[in-house]
Amino acid sequence: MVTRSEERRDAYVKSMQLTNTITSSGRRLTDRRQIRGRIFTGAALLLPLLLVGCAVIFVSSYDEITDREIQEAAKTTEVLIGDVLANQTSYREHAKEYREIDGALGALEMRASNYQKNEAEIELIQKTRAALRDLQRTHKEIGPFRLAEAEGVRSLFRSLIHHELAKKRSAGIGGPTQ
Amino acid sequence: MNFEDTLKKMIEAAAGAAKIHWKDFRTYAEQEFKRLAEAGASLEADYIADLAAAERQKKAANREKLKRKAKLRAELAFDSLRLASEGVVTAAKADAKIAAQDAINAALAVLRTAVNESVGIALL
Repeated sequence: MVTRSEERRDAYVKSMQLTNTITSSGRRLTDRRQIRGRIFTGAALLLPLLLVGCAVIFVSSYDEITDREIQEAAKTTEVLIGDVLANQTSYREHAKEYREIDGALGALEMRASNYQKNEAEIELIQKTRAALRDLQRTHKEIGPFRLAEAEGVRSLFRSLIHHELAKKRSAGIGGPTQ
Repeated sequence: MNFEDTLKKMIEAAAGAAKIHWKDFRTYAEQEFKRLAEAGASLEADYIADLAAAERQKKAANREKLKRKAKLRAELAFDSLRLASEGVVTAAKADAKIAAQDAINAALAVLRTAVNESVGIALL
């Protein structure tokens, strides 16, 4: 049997529990607001500091291997052009070198595409390959090319080297490095 | 932290960083366009000479064959020069981006130093 006093006690306990629940949930809500406010204030204070701490990157960083490979491909191309201009050598004598240069540039393009914000380098490599194909076709279908006909390929190699030097210079004056 | 002094130093640092790239770009672009223009003029002269040589052929078949070769030769060479000219523009655009990047980073470096000096520790 449950007596009246026990009923009152149970009702009191239940009401206290309910009050506690309401109070505690209300306090939680208040705490959340405070936490959010503090996080917002903290973020607002830290954001300029974080911005100052970061460096902006518009162009991919300098890569020594890419630079070296470009120099190597440029050297092989120069030897080929020099030989054709000086000795009027046939396409057959240089067919292997054309393939090697294109292969080296293809590998460079693959490497360059692994870096973000590296569109200029990729574009320059693609254009160099296209110009080399023009020169190769001239050599193969017409005969030994002339100095002016090789100028496009040479100019594109110079542009590639210039681009690498600009990246290297940037790394030297506080820009991104690998 | 002295705001005016920091701002002045930031602008100087940014201008200095951009100037280095600008000087190199100007030399490169001027030389490259000069070389391409010279090559273009040379190609034109070669094409005219090739056509003249073709015209001197007595056999019509030989004449046409040489004309076709001269045309293909000029087309391939001019396509190569077009690619090279576009390459200079591509490199120039990248130069501008690198210059802007270095200018901003140089200014941020000055601000970083100023903040660190102001708080007395290497905060950033």
